[in-house]
Amino acid sequence: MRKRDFFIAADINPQRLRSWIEAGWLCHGEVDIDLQRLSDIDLARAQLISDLQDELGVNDEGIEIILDLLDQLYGMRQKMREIVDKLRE
Amino acid sequence: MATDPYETLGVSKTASQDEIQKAYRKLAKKHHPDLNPGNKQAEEKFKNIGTAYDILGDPEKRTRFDRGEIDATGAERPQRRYYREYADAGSGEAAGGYSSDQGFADFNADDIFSEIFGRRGAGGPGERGRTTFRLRGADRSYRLEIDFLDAINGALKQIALPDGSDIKVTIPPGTRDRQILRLRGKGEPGMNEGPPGDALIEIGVRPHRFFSRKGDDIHTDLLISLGEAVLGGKVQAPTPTGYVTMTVPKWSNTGTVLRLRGKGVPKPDGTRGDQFVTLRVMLPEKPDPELEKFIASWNGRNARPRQSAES
Repeated sequence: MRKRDFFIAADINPQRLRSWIEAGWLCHGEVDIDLQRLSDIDLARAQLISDLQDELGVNDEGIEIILDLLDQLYGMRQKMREIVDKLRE
Repeated sequence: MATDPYETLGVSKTASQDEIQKAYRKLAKKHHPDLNPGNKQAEEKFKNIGTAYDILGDPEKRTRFDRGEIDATGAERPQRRYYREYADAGSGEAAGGYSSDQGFADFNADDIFSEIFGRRGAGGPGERGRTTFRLRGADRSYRLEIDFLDAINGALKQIALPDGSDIKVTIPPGTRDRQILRLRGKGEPGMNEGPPGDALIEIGVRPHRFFSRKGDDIHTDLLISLGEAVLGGKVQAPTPTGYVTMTVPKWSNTGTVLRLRGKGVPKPDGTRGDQFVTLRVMLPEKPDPELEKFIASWNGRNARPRQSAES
């Protein structure tokens, strides 16, 4: 997805992105990062944050908790997949 | 900014293709630039109508527009890719490094996984880590029906398995109905030298003709003759371990309960419960003229044991 399309689709402006990065939700808090160099996963994550804030009405504390739990969940799914793959061999 | 083509043509979302075509033709005639030489806005409107009809006039494009796949100008809309597609793809690096192991850090997860999968890459490229993953075999469940006395006294039984082999089961004395015996190592074999599972055997105890069990005590009825009831005497009473001699006191009635201490169910501590014998007085099987004659002349013949119930 092109970055411009992304920003339009997600209705995200650079100021919001910056505030999310500063909050540590994106890019591991690298506040100096060039917004043009965000990867696809960063953009998808930003869109998820946007959905949580705008569509689902989650407040900032809630978003922090949700992101933290999601990161743990995906980490565990990762490990589970490794186990399952190994067991299938 | 393109407006909603349905609005532009002035039709509803549920309009048929015919209605759309009619609406388009009507508007097109009205706004055609050549028919409106002096109206500058007509050209713009006519373009919009044309664009709207391009989409709605083509059933396929109309469906795609309704689904949101193309916008009002007919351009492809970017398809959203959800976060999970990235976060859930491949290894941690590829997933952008957001995923965390905090949810299982207390498992000492890396140790567990390296234990399971061997030291991956330790031998350099090409050599796979050897699997040292040991898995305990699964437990297997069985059900075994045994006789009452085998459960009380203990026994050695066999369970035949579908594969033709069998398991020897030692029934410990005092085994209860529905008790589960665990035979270590008699379940499914383990993986990679992991220990085998256990066999879990649920015991079903069949009822006995005259013994019954309550806790660690045995209960039974015992028939005695009229003579034994009136005069007392020694009788043979059955117990789970065989007959014992029991003294029936003089003048024992039906319903009298006698206790045989230590003749009940064996307990784990080596002692046994008791056996309780409930006496039942039986008249002689065949009519006895002598007895009848005696009773007829007996003073107590008109005693009324039901007195309390009658009054």
